[in-house]
Amino acid sequence: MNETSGMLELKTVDAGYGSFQALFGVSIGVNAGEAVAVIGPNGAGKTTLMRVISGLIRPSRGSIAMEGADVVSTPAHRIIGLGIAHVPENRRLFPRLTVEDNLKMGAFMPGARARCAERMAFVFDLFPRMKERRNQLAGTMSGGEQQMCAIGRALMSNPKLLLLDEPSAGLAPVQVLKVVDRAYLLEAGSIRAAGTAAELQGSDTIKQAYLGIEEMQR
Amino acid sequence: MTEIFDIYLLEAVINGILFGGVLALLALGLNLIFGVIDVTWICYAELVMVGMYGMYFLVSVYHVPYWAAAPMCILLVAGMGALLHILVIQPLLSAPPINQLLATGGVLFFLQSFATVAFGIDFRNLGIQLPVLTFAEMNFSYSRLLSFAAALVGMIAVYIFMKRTYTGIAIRAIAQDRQIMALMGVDTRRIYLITSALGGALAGLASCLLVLQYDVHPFVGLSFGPITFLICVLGGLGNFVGGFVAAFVFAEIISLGGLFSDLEWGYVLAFGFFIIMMFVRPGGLLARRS
Repeated sequence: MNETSGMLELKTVDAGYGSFQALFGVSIGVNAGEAVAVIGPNGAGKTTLMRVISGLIRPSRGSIAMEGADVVSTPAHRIIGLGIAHVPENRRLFPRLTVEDNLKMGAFMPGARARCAERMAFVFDLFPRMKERRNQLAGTMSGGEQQMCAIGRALMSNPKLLLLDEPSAGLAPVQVLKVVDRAYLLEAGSIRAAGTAAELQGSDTIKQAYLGIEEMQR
Repeated sequence: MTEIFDIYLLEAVINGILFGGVLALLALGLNLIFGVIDVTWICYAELVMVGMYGMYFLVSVYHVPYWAAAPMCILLVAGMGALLHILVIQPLLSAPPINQLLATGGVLFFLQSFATVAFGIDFRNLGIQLPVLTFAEMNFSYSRLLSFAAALVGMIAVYIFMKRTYTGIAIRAIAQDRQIMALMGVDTRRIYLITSALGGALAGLASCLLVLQYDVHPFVGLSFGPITFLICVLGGLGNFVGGFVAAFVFAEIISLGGLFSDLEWGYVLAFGFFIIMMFVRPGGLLARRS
């Protein structure tokens, strides 16, 4: 992989929770304008990887750069200002705030506040359902509607990089590979394979690791 | 005979509502701190005591007009709230709740003792005697009417702040999901500080109003502290609407209890009601389904 001029670059990142290490020397890159998937079985460290990029946890080793800016030394609440928005696992909406207030929270940064109305119009355009439900409490909506709201909230800051944790929950990995440009296979906290979506679709490593299919006939 | 009695009853009901306004204001301040920062300021009423002393000195000693002294006093107590957060709460944020309780309890005794040493145990008052409004054979003191109106304005201002501003929305959001606030670009430390100052400002407003009706002394906090806590617990700690409702329930029990017997019996009834309610609805009047 050639990752010399990526928008987001992680180099040999170790991270974990307390004494439990979840990521081991992970190096990945994302270029502007491309869709990249990180696939892997449950407990592989996908959520930890997202959390370490958005600053919810800090790496114990390695570097993270967003357009050349050092993410690791940036205070967590300023990372969104670098253009990184994170839709966390289980959406994590504010259940007793209205849809509109949830979206406003996504535009909390002073820079985004000024363009809040414009961004909200964009989100309502993308998800007309959210416009209908703008005064409803987020916790009372269906799962699909909450997912729209969570993605809308992340888009409010006009991010350059959108991190989606398990947007495809329930979909087969093959389906994910159909909509992305590139993918990484994360297994037990390490990158096991990387390549274009087409390359990985045919890969035996993917079939074995992700689907748990041992091809014993061979 | 019955007709006169009804007038007294109505007067007591209305006085209960007027009393409830200031109690609701105090409960809102305490609930705000509890709901957002998840700590209990045991010394909340002592901040009110300091504010009342502030009003006393500004108005009676330095002859600042009441209307000018009030905002100064609100700012003073707001600053104390922020200081309390920085000096006592912030270092203990991840400590066990009992340590936080004991620390703010320590501040309570510190402030009481400090006031005793600095100002003595004399009862002092502003010497402002507001007239009494007589309406349909009922008497209401202007100080109570003014207090109620100002408390209501204060609560409406907080409501608008919480509904309309980004900081207000963040204050409500932080009580619902603390961990992901950083993803929204919210600096939780800053929100905690603003909330503490706001809680202090509400105590400051209450002190400006209570000083019109009560004498100031180092232990005046005991007159409002325990009842404010009971109101917050009865309404469900951190539940703003519950606290508002519970304040008026308590005020009415005290006021009506005082009508049928002595004022002290009103308090006995109110506290008895509280104990029974803790068995019936331990989560508070408007317990949130979780």
